[in-house]
Amino acid sequence: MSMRRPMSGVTLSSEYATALRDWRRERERRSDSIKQAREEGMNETDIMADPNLPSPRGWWEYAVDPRGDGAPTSENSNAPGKLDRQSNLNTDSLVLTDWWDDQEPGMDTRAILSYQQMLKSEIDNVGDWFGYYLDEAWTPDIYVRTSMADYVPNMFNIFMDDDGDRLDPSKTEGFFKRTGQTLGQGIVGYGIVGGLFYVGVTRFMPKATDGIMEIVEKVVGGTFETIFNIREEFVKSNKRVKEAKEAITGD
Amino acid sequence: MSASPPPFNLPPPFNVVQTGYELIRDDLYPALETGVDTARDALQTVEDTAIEPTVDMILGVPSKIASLIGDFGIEVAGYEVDAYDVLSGDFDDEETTTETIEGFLGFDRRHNEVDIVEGGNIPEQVTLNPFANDPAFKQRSLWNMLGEDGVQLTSGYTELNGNESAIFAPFSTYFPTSMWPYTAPDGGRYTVHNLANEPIESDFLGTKPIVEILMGRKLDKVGALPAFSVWGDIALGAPPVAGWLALGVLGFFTAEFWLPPILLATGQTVAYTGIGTGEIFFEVAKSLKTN
Repeated sequence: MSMRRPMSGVTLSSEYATALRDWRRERERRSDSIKQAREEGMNETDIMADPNLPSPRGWWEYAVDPRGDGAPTSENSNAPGKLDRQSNLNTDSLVLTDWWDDQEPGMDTRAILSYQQMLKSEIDNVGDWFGYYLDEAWTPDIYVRTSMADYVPNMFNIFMDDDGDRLDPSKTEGFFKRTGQTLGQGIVGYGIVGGLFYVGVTRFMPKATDGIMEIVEKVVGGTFETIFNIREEFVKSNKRVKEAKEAITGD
Repeated sequence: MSASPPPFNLPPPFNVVQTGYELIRDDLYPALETGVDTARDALQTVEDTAIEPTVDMILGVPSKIASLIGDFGIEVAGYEVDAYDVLSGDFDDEETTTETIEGFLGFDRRHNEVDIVEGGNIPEQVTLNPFANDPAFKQRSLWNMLGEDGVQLTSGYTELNGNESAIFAPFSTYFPTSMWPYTAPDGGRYTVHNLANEPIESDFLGTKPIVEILMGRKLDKVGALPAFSVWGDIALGAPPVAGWLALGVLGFFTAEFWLPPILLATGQTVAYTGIGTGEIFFEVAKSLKTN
């Protein structure tokens, strides 16, 4: 199999993936500590005032200041969030690192799979499970889309190269050819998605809904009927047992 | 031996498409290709026989003059010496003299290089989803960019002989990535700066050196073209704007064909869901009542 990146866009470095994992861990840890404090009877005012119970942070807050030791800003700074590049307190800031320069052109499937496996290994409750499958499973944070072609999901992409990989415009020489590939992939992909949506909505959705509701109705009706039949049989059986007992004991 | 299967007859619409494709492939495309080749050959002949010699002659004027000066003999104390033996400064030798004359005639203006300096205000991904803002990943929502940074119509600058011109870049900065049809060779967002650094392959039918002298700059990249800082981003943004606008207009004027079926189907779906839910409750109530 080819080692070429099968798509455009950029995949961020593994350091970013690790930072994302660390942030999630910190968030979980802080949430759990606060939850435990509440269970132990602490009120909200005490929790807010307790320096050992910091609030869970969003990704941006974490990325700006992973150590949580402060993130000084400077009016003249051109850095994101006007962070002061000269301050020692900002040496940990993810938004000031040059990791972005380590990005891989295209979709690095292996890096993304590793990242997703790492996330899956951290799932330990239903909320995390839903969160993962509603978000990161489809749009992993470490893959940044940079053109319309990148928005077409693999299952709707029909353009492949000789190796069977997804056609990658960024590997094509020449502005016009590259733009043609990006545009073609995007337009055709969107067209297929739109066409399937149209056919799905106009042809299948009403019938499917009608059919599904009918099935649910039958299942619910059947379930109730079964439950009541079981109850009836149970009552009958009890009655028979009682009659048998009476016959034996003569009461 | 079994009889060969009957030929597969395509339905009429497919036949038309197939015939049209064959016509284009077998007749139209070769004819067009031949025409283009002929025109290209004719232009190449004109370039080789007329334009290029003329341009070479013009560009050769300084060295010709310098050479003539070198041929000029002067008698000093009864000795015949070369003109360059008595000249100094900017006319010290033939090479220096050539450069000096090139400077007088402005021929050296063609070596002035235009520098492209990128701005740091263009993210890799621009989204309309207000919840997808993540500057750490160079993902910004349009709303966050406008709210936090204000409207920024320029990014970076071009520089020629110390003169800087801010590059007008609203399309590169704000156009949503999901509708952006360009890709940079490194997989990133293609911006006006990428366009500026695209090399100019054409030699303008052999007149490129003359055009460079007249324009006072080296035309090695698109960003070196005059007033690129003004029109570059418009050239990049106009095609997708026109395309999506045309698609929007087409969608609007054909809405009577595609919108009613969607609305009807959505209405049917809602109705089936409502009726089905009602029937389920009715079924439950009936079961409870009966039992």
